[in-house]
Amino acid sequence: MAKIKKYSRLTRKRDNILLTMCIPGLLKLIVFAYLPMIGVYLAFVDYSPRLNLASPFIGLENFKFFFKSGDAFRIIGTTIGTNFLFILVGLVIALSLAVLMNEVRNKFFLKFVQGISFIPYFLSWLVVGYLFTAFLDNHGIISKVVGSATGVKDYSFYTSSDHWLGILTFANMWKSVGVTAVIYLANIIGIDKEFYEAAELDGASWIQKVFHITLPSLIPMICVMTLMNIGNIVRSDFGLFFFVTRNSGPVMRVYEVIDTYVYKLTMESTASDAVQRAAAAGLLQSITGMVLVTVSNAVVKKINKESSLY
Amino acid sequence: MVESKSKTFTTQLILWVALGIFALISLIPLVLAISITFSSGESVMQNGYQFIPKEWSVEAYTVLFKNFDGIWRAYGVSLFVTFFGLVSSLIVTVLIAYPLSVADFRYRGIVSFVVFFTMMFSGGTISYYIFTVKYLHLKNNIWVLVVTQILVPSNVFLLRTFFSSIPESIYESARLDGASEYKILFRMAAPLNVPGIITIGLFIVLQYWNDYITGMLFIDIQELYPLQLLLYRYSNYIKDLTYGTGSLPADESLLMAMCVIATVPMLIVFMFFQKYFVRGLTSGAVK
Repeated sequence: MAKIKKYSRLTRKRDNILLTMCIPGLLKLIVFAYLPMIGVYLAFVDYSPRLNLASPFIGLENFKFFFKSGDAFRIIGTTIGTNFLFILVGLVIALSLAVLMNEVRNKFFLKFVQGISFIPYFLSWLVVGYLFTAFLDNHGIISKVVGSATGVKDYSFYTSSDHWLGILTFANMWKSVGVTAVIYLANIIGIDKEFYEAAELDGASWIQKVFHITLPSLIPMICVMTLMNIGNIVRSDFGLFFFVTRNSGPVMRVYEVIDTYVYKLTMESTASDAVQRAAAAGLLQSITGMVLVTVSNAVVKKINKESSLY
Repeated sequence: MVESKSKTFTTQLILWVALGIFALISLIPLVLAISITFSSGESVMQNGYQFIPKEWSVEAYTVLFKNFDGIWRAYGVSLFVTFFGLVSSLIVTVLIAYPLSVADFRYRGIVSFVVFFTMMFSGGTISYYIFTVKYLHLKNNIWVLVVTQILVPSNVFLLRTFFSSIPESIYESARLDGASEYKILFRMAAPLNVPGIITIGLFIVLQYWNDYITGMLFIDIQELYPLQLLLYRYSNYIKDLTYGTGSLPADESLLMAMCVIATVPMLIVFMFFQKYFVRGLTSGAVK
């Protein structure tokens, strides 16, 4: 009895020490994540810089205004639509690459290809945006080809929203698909070799093995990765939409997403109601994001308890 | 038998070609950027961008290297921020990830939730901005680039996974011998998890070096521009840079040279730590 008591006292002491280790990290989160959360209140006020949080409360007016202006549906639609496309295309390309990589016998060649395919991941979106101008602006390699095909002198992709769905999808894939492919590949390697050996004895072709063994074995993992992405479907990659488009007017008129919209209201807008509008859009995004993550995580938990976030 | 061998050869050949094209696509934009940096201004104006410059020139680099106050200052800021960011972020992340890996730590659930919740919900850019500028007075303070990025939740959870992969029983005997938790962390848990810590370190370095948004929000005096922010505001900067220098390299070659210079350090880091990078990516997915 005495021993148990002593042990629990020790455990409590240990837990308190462990808690002190968490303090610096928690402090950072409190200051830079939790305290700014008070600011969601700005979404419900008629903001004046002088009064700050004491600005007059106006209820849901900012949200009403956001939806009435027509901005809301367009921006939210673009955010969700592009993310959905990225998830779908990303899945197909990354899976195909992983399946191909799995068949390569020469491990040195495989390492070489993987190494090169990681390079874009290490570039910032800002740099990626500039690199792409060498293909897309009026001196660009691709613009020259398109320009001479259509007879337009000094053709530049940045002057209209044409082709940008493809360009943005390509840029997004280009930057990260090598990395996603490796994650899938690690899972393919983990599949029990006996399945393949049995299939080979039955005379299964390569394609048959892919569709009857590899892909079915990956389904739980595919579901988990896709659900996690769907949880984040209201959040866009700011860098992709801001730098690859070079924030050019004609492109942004169509491809404005919530994150770029909020940034511009925060940093570039001189409108008197910019703050409250940015707050309203941000809060809307945060709440939908939270609901989606919670729901998708609950589904992930059902599929594979180990993979859920919490 | 011979037939199957040649079939294997054909399959492998197709695979090599397909993946070779993929690797080429991954590399081409960077190759083009590098060759633009070696093109003379007139050549770009006349012929557009080219993979093999018509007229070679190293002018873009000489202009950049001569200009110490601009790009090298930004380089210094980025190095400073990345170095102090790495050190502080690593300490803070290790300190919080270890307790979260102790299975029967009483506050494990609540601390995990406090960390995780920030991944789901945020106060939004505007209130983060107002709070940091008006209440913390961190506008145009170099440390804002360090402290706001000090703890990334996904890094905490990744490192926790690394810590958890070592059986608790190893630490248990040390605990019975009366070792303090700090001693266990720094003498046992951390040394046993060096690969995990290097992986996290790599992610941290990448994140600090490539961070543009913090600078865009909180820095507007040029002396404190990190490299990414200088790149963002390059057009103003290049005007200063080329003012009165006579023959000019095209803005584009200068810009691409700045991109190359900004990217090279990360490529070097990647080359040395590729193994850890792959391990970090896959350890979250494979259990």
